[in-house]
Amino acid sequence: MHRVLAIALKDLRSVLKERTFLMAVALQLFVAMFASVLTFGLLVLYNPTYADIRETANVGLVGDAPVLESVLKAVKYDSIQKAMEDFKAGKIEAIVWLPKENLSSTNFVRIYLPKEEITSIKASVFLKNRFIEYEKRMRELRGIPGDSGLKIYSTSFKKEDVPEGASIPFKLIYVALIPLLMLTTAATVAGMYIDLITEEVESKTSYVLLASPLTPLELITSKMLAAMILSAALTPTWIVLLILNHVEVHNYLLVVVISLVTCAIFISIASIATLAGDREKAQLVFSLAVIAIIPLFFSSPLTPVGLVTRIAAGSPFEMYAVAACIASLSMLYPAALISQKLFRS
Amino acid sequence: MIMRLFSISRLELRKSKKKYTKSLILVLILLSSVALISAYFSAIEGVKSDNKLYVVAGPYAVNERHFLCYPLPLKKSIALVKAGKADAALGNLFIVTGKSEKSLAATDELRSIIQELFDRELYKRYGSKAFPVFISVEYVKREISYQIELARQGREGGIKGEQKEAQQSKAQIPVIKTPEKPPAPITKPITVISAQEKYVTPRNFSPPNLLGKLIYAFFFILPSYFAAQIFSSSLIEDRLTKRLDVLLSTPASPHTVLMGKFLPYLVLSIASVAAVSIVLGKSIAALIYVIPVILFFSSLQAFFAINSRSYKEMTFFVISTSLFVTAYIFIPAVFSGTIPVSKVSPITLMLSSFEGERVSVKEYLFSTFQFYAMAAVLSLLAAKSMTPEIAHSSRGIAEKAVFALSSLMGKEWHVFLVAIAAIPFVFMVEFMLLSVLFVLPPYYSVAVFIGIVAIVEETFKASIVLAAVKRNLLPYMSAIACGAGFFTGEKLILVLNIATQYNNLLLAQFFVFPLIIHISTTLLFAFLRHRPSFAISVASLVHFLYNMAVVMVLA
Repeated sequence: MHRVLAIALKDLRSVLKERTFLMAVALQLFVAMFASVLTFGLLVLYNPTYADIRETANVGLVGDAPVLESVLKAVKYDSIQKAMEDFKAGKIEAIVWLPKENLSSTNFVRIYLPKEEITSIKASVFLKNRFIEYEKRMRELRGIPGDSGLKIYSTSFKKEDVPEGASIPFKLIYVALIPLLMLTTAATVAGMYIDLITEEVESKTSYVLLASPLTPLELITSKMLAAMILSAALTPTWIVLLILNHVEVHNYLLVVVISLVTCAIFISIASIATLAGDREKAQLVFSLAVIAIIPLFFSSPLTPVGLVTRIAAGSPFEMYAVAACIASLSMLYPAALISQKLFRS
Repeated sequence: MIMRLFSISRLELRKSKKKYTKSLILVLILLSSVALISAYFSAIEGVKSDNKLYVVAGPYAVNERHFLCYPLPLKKSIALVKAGKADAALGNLFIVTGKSEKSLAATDELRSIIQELFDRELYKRYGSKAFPVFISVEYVKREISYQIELARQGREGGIKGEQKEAQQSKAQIPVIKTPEKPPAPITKPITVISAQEKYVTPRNFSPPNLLGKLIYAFFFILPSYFAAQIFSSSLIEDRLTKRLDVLLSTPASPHTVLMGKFLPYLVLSIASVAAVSIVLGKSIAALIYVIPVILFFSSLQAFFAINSRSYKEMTFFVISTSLFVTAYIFIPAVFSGTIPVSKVSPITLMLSSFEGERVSVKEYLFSTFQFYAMAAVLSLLAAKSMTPEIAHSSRGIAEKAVFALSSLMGKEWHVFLVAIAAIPFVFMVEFMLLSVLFVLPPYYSVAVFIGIVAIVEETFKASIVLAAVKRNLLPYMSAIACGAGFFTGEKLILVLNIATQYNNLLLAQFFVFPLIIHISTTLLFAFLRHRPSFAISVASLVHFLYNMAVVMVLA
């Protein structure tokens, strides 16, 4: 045990010395920042009010459409050519074209928006809301209920305004970002495990180590220990990062546990992959295995990914799945036993 | 030269042939097919890891996978929401929501489920009469932002002739086709797809993005990442086992060795892209968009393989750079069609060409030139690092890069060229920072951005000057050449007018005398060069203060 710890500590020291640890943290920061860019970008696309973009736009209307005209409050044009002229000159941001409004059958409306301009997002959100209103009016004119009439209240029965698309950032954080941070950590740590093992083999230092009373199993255990200690250091880092970004992480101790289990699963796979021979082959086998396993992690709520999503979001979760997850920590042992073969030949 | 190149490629192939035994190849094929099956399975099944994410209580059952339902009377349900045990309570045409982000998200999803049910019910009862409006959108290019940019330049004494040209083009009105009548029968209540246009109900109308198409791009890029990974692994192995030194002792130049080793993997990448385009039924023209990315990515990996100290360091570099490059090429594609700078990525162009859009030569050059240029610079640096004194030293990567740089510069005017060559890298780093920082409130983000730009630019310039000094070039002359080169590189982008929008965001038009600041900060660095980190900080601070002052005065 003492020997195992000594080797693990030696490896961790070299990781710190090469500043690879700092880089791993920077990597997490990077993933988190880009996820927030993506979240923000999608929000702006679907709901510009988030970015303080006011939903007004100068719209030109072409055609004989009295109801649409009253809903849109648009500038009226006689011909599409005239409207296009003003559109190209930047006087209006959108053209709505409905040649003849039909009160009893379907109206097909053509909209022209500027291409590759941010104003186009603003204008399209404005038009979307106006057209929902137009749809409601037209339905009512036909004696059909205009909208579902659904109301939203707070718990004190005051009317509540829930922005449309509020679920998009929420789901991106808990369904994509948190699992992604967990998986990046696991892949980084497992990749490092492969390096620790193959470096000893390829520089032939493993011969020296194994000539001492150290057994192959102990050598592998020490490398696994180093990798697990690194995971235990990296996981709280991304959780703190999230909390600093005002993301609420519930049950964070359990989140750490699930993340460590995921690291252990990846390290086990990496350990078996080292049997491929050198670093190049081992990393290749490992990457392929990881690519195969990651989609599966997202395909059920009972996987570590499904569990971490709900645990971090504070939703109810299955205790038995957590127990099964923790039990899979024991995978490390058979993996170590199998990969011993590397040192036999 | 060519013969040597091929013989090195042959050696590389023979090495991998020996390495990859039949059983290992079998394992790899097996794993790849498992990966394919698992990807296919998840694509069909969809994401299920978020099942039962929300808790809804109430007398009405919600049959949707995101919701866990507690069938309770309304009063008890509202009490649960109050206690934070449920996210929302569902009553008769109303939702009671809690205050947390999760409650709001649950309410939002519940609302869209109810909306969909309502639409379906309307269709059942009233048929197509209940859907009086369908809309279709066409995006039309106009030259507005371009004119604003020119007007600003005009104020600074810029090009007046082009302004006239822009006005002329404005006067031309394109012939507009009258839309063909879409087919009348409505099969589904939500969308009607005619031959050319897509008509949707107002609720289903959203701004364009290529998010859904991104998955295609992944299939095109991913196999090449693997090829690059094997290439760099093989390279680092050759370096550590000193096989590289043997190859270099032959008459083959470092460049030939590097290219010869890379050739088989390039062929592999091209073959994979071709295979993917056949499988997905896309044009083989995808190659012209993917190749610059492959070249850049592989040369980056080659540079790290030659310069990293250990496998561990290499692994971290590989993972970080893959993420970085992936983000740089994929994120802009998400915003294509709405944000002009999205064309900075070749992937955006590839996806829009799949959509049937024409990509102009200018757009192609704008997005790919930087990748070709960076690939050239990186492979040059990698080849220069392939000497035993750099490859086997235990120095850090940054120091080795400076070493490799110094071997590129024999005369002071070389410094000028190197500074120009640094511009694409600066562009890439600053673009990434800009896209990350735009999340911050604008009040801070301008200051933070200008600060980081100052640090990035000064660091690049300082490394070049340091490398020049290492080569015993005159420090102050090199500093002037470096500042001037940087300025020229920046202006080249402006003059070529390929990045109008980007410059707009970079506030480039505000900096009237950037030449002076570029040269004076490098001179400052050269003066303080014996304490490099202190010198970089001082130069960055001066740069930052200058830019801030210019922005304050002009804005």
